[in-house]
Amino acid sequence: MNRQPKLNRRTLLGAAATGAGAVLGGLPLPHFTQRALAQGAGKEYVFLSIVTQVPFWVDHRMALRDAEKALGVTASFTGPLDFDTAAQARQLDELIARKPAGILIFPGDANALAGGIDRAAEAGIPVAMIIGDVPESKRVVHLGISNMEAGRVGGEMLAEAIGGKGKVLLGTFPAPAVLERVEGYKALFKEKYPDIQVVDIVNDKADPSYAPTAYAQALQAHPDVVGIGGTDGDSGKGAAVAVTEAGLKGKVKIVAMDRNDDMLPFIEDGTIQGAVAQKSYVEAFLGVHLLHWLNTNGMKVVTNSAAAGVNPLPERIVTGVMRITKANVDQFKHQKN
Amino acid sequence: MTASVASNELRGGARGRALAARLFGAREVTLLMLILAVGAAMALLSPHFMSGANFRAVFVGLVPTAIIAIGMTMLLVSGGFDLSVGSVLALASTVLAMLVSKGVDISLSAVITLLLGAGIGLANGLIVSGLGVNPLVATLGTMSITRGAALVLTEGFSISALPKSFGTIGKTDVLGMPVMFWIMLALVILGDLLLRHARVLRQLYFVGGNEQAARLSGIPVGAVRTLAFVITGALAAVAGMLLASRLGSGTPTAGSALELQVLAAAVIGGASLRGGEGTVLGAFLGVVFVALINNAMTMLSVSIYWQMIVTGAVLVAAVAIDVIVRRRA
Repeated sequence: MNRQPKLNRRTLLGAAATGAGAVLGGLPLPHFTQRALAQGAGKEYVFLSIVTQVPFWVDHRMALRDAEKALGVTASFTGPLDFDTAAQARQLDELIARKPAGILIFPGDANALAGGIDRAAEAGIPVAMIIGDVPESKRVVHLGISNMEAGRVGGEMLAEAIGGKGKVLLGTFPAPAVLERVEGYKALFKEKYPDIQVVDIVNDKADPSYAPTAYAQALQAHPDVVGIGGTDGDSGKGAAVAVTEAGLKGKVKIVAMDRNDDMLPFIEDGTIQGAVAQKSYVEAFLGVHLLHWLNTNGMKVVTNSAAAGVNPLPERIVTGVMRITKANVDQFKHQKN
Repeated sequence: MTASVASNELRGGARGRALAARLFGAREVTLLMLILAVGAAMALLSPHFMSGANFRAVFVGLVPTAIIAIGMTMLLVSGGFDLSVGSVLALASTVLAMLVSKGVDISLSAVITLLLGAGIGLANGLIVSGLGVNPLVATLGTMSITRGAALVLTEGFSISALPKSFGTIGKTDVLGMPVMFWIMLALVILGDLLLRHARVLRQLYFVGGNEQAARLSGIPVGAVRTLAFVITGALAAVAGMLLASRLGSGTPTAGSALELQVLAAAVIGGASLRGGEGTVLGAFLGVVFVALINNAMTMLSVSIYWQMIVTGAVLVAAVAIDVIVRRRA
């Protein structure tokens, strides 16, 4: 009588591993190989972000791809899908163990990452901070906008759209960077447009499915509003849908934030008067270049900056914002490749 | 004489309440009272609350939640739940938009998307009922897979280059409200009637109340519970399609944390996490109540920092009031 092989978890796992090995062994894996080679050659740069599922990172990711081509390195994008600051801190430690050539970080919670940034520096991995900063850490450079300034630019655009007076709503969600933009709007109105009154701050939760409802209700609560200033990527479209549904298109002017592709058509058709966009591409493209120049001693600030023990990079680069209007909106549409 | 009239009135009142309770279940009556109380208070506190436009904003906003709550209630009744609904909504909205943007007929795209949602529900059902995996783990897994699929398909981009006809259901009005509102209302009424009267759905109560007894009495427990998962998946896809029509785009990030909102609303509406209890009407009233509280926050310009605390406290209070009322009854 034949003995049947015993089917247990161990044999199943063994069979699965053998099968997977056979499948992988038979396939060319250029992507993995290239990445592995780059890692081995110390030419891998990693952008560690947070809330990575939102479309906002499209420009950063495009810039990483272009930096790869320009420098002959590998530049990857990673980070928790949600606003999980603990997971981001853990991933930073895992990255340090992997020893990439450099790390770019958009911090969810700067304080939670301060220790990790210093550990990376001590392990010889230079860190560039993107948008958010931890100035007291051992990061080598910070690239990003001034959120206050972004709010002021949005405020200026909204003031122009509503003729410098009237009641307005500001849309946001409770995150420090975004709330700074709200303060930028308020500061500008107080200094330059005292006849503009901010009657409410709307929490659109940065959720594209909830934002229209948030603005629709706020418009009912404040029927004499003439403008809406959005400070997160979902506020512009949310406000545009609400204004359209309420039949107030043209009567309530909107200024959006960022350059989400599904918001741009509302600028084209005049529902949204304009948007404030960050130069996200510049942050990532320049960030990888700066770290690579640092690693290769490419900028001769001194003969050898590592030997001299100095940081040759600029401490802080303010990338500024761009105004999107009906006239130039075409240039801001992303080409999906 | 007076005492007798009063006594008769009391008896009449008690009979009325008993009848109402029998008709709708005690939780629905309490919830309706709470909704009316909040509505009355808001009418006094805000001059803009009692406007048609405000009601429109509230009821259009709650359409996706209410539709998914129908299926979630059936699942809760059967002793299960589904955490993947928000992700299915997002995937459905993107798949529909992708198909339409590639020139596929809108009706055909909608059918494909509906089948996709039902298919994910079927997968959930088979994993839970067939393999015996806990619904928390199973649907947490499909939640992640489904959201990931939406992001892989779109690379994070929203899909917005769509024909005007795409927005017909979300934007066209019938009797003063968008078509999507009437679809939601029809689904709620149909769902409530079916759960009360359709034999196969009534079996969900037996399955959720006492699974072993249901099995012994010949009810195909696994198949019945899987059906509830399929209905939930299909309804999440419907919600995603209606949202896409309203927004004029497929959005892979939509519906984040929606599953917890739906669960909370269904539980407020009388469904039990232990199974065997709940009605679609109750869940719908739960959704309306939560939406009303959110609306009140906006109408009263409550600081965004306080909104979460107030909303959470009111929700706990709503369930607590019901528990106290029932204990006294």
